[in-house]
Amino acid sequence: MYTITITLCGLLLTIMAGTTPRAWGENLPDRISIETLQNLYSPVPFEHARHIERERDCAVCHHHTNGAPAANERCLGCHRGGHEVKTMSCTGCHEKAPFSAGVVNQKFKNSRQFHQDKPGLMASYHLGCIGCHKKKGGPQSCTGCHGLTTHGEAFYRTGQHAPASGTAAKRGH
Amino acid sequence: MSGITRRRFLCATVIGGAITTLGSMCGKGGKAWASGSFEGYPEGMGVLVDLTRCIGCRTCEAACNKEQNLAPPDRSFTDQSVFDTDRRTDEDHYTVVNRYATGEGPVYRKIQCNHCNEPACLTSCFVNAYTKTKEGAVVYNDKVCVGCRTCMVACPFNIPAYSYSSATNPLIKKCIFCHETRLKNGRPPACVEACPQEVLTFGHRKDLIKLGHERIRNSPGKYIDQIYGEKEVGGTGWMYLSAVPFDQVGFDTTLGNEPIISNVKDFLSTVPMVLAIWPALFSGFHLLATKGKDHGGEGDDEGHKRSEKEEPRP
Repeated sequence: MYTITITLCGLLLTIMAGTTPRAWGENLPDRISIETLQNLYSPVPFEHARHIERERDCAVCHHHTNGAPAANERCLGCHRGGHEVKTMSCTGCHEKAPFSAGVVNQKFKNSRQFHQDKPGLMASYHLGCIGCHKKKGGPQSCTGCHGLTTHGEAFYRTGQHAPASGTAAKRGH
Repeated sequence: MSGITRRRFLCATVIGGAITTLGSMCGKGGKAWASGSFEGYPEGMGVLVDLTRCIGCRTCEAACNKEQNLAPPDRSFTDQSVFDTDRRTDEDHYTVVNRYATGEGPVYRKIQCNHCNEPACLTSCFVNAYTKTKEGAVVYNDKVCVGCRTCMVACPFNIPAYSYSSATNPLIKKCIFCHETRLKNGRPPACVEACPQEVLTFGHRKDLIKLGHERIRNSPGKYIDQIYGEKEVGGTGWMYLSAVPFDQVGFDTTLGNEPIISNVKDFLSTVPMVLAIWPALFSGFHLLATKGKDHGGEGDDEGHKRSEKEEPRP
C-alpha cells in the first residue's frame, strides 16, 4: 500500500559520514541525510555506500556530473564524459521550485534550450528512487523511505489527525 | 396601393436583415465563440498530466483540500481503499484520483476541471457566471450563479458539482486552477506543487504541447501517440499522456475535436434571423396574398369593386 510521499526531504548532502567510506576508498559519503525539502516527511537516511555497491554505475543517478559518459543514449550527444562538474549533488541542477514564475517564463522565452523537461528536485528523487526500486525490489511506499512528520499527519489527515470513523458528514455529489 | 404594400414588404425585409447583421456583429464583441473557434489565450497556462508517473498517493487531493479550505474528508488521504470505487468530483473534492486495472497493471488518473479553451459550462451559462481568464483558468462568479445546473449537463467531462448539502444557497463547485490564490500571481496550483512524482507539469499550454510530443518521441513505445486535450473539444488547458489507450482509463474518446458550442452554434445563429426576418417576411406574404384575393381571385366583380372602395387592410 502506497502511502504518500510528498516532500522528499532535501538533498544538500548533509554528510553524516560515519566511518571511512567503504565504497571506492574515495571521498564519497557513506550515508547522506536528504533533508532540504523536509516538511511533511522527515529526512531520508540515504545509504549511499549500499547503493554504490548495488548499482556500480554512478551515471544512473548522477547522469554525467562525475565526468563519466551519460547513461542515457540521448544525452551522449553532448555529455560524452571528460570533466567533473562542480556540484555533484542533485540540488546543483534540479530546482526546488520547478514551476515558479521565473523558471516557467524562462522556458517560454527560450523554447529551444535543452533540458526543458528536467524534473524538479522533489520529482528527481521520487522518479529516480521509485523507478529503480520497482525494478529492483526496493521500498516503494511513502513511509518505506521516510516517516510522516506531525505536519504531514495533519496534511494527510492521518495518525492523530485521522477523521473519527463514522462521524464525518456524508454529503451528496 | 399595391405598390406601397410591396415597398413596405421590401423595406421590412431590408430592416430585418440589417438588424440580424448588426446583432451578430455585436455578438462578436460580447462572446468570443460567435466568431469561429477560439484557441485559447496565447499565454494561457496549462498542466500536462503524465499518467505513467502517477503512483496513486493522493497528495494532490490533500493539497487541494487544504488550499481551497474544503470540508475535512471522511477518510484519511493516505487511505487507499477509496480506489475500490470510481469517484467523481464533488463539492468537497475538486479533484479525485481513480484507479483503473489495465493490461499493464494499475493506472491512476487524476481528474479535475480541464479548463477548456472553449468551455461548454461558460457557453451554456445564461447568467454569464463563468469566465475564461487570460491565465487559462475557467472561473465562476458564485454571486450571480442561480443554481440552474445547466453547466453540469453541458460539461463533457462531468466536472462541475453542486453543493446539494446547502439547503438555502446551493451553488456550483469546481476546480478553479487555484486562480485566486495562486495562478494569477504566477504560481502553480497547489496539486502541481505538491505532486512528488511531477505527474503534473505546469507551464504555458503551447510549451506543454511541445513537451508532450517530445516525451512521446523520446520514449518510443512508451506512450500512446496522442495528447488527450490537445484537440479534444477545441483543446483543454489540462492535457494527458498515457501508456494505455485512453478509453481504458476512463477517458471519453468519442467527444471529437469541436467545441461543445459548435453543436448548437449554427442553430443559435439562426434564432435572431428568424425573429427579425420572419415576421416581416410572412407579413409581406400575407399582404401579397390578401391583395391577390382582393383583386377578385374568384371572379367576384362585386367583391372587387368593394375592395377598391375600402382601404386595404394593413
